[in-house]
Amino acid sequence: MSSHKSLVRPPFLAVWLLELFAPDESILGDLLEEFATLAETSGVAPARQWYWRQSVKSVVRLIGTGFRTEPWLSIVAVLGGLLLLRFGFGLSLPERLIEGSIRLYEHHVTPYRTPAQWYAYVQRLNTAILIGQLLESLVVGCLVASAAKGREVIVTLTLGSASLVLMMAQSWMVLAMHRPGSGGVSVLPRVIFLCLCNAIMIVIGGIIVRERRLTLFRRSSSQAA
Amino acid sequence: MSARDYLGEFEHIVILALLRLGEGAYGVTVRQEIEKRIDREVSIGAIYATLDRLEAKGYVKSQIGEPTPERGGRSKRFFYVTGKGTIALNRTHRAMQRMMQGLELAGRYS
Repeated sequence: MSSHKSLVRPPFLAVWLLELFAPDESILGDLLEEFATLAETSGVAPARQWYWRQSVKSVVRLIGTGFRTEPWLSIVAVLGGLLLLRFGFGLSLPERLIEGSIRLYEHHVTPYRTPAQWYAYVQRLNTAILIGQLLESLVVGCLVASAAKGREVIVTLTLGSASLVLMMAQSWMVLAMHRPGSGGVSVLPRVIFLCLCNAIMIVIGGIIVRERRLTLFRRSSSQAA
Repeated sequence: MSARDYLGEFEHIVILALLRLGEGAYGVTVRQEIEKRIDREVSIGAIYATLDRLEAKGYVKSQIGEPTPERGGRSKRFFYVTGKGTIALNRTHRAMQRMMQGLELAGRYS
């Protein structure tokens, strides 16, 4: 029976999701222990269902608790992140680097352009700016997550949501100032998509830092054992 | 701790579960004890969220055990109620008893 126990694994995605939010490893150990017993007594499928149910309910609860306990840590981290997004990267370093590289390359390769080449050049610059913005959000997500030890994903989720709301409001105001028929509304889906992508990149930054910390923790634990 | 610090409903249930379990109180046993006694499925996240809150208030203390292979090399976290926690529990019970005094709940809600 013990060999059967060791062969049965809980759903990988549920474990990963819980690892992102669990404040310590005891929760995962407890769930694994109960999962193994349940798989033995009731079968693997009901045990997996139970694990999923427990993980989702626990993650929701842990997110809620994460906001309530040490609220100042979350508030400071989120405000810091928003300031970084607004002013710290006011120079938009990733954007400028990519844009500068394209300009330099274009200057040496095609110093004189036809209208079609100009259009392609502007498209490339737009793409460079988009990539730069996404990289910027990723870096800010990583920095904020590094400061919020143990609450990396919760804090970056909050920052992502706050920046999404702010960016949407800002974009809406800019578009509202356009005269009717000037084409402002037609770019709205693209603006929403960009805001969403930036928010997702912030959260990905948090996940990267969390995963890195978990890997280091596991390595040190196995060395100690 | 102020004299107005009463335990919430779930905090109350969790502390009682810890007292019932004694030295063997950790996430799994606490969750199972509550499920067995009040017939309600509770998530392990809810248990830990409450225990962490109680620990922050000084009502509960925790101790990390040894990692075991059946838990994927993860340690158990054992919990026990502190003196402060017992005082808060008694205060809550007394408050409830005072509120219940003179009420005929059985006749009214049966």
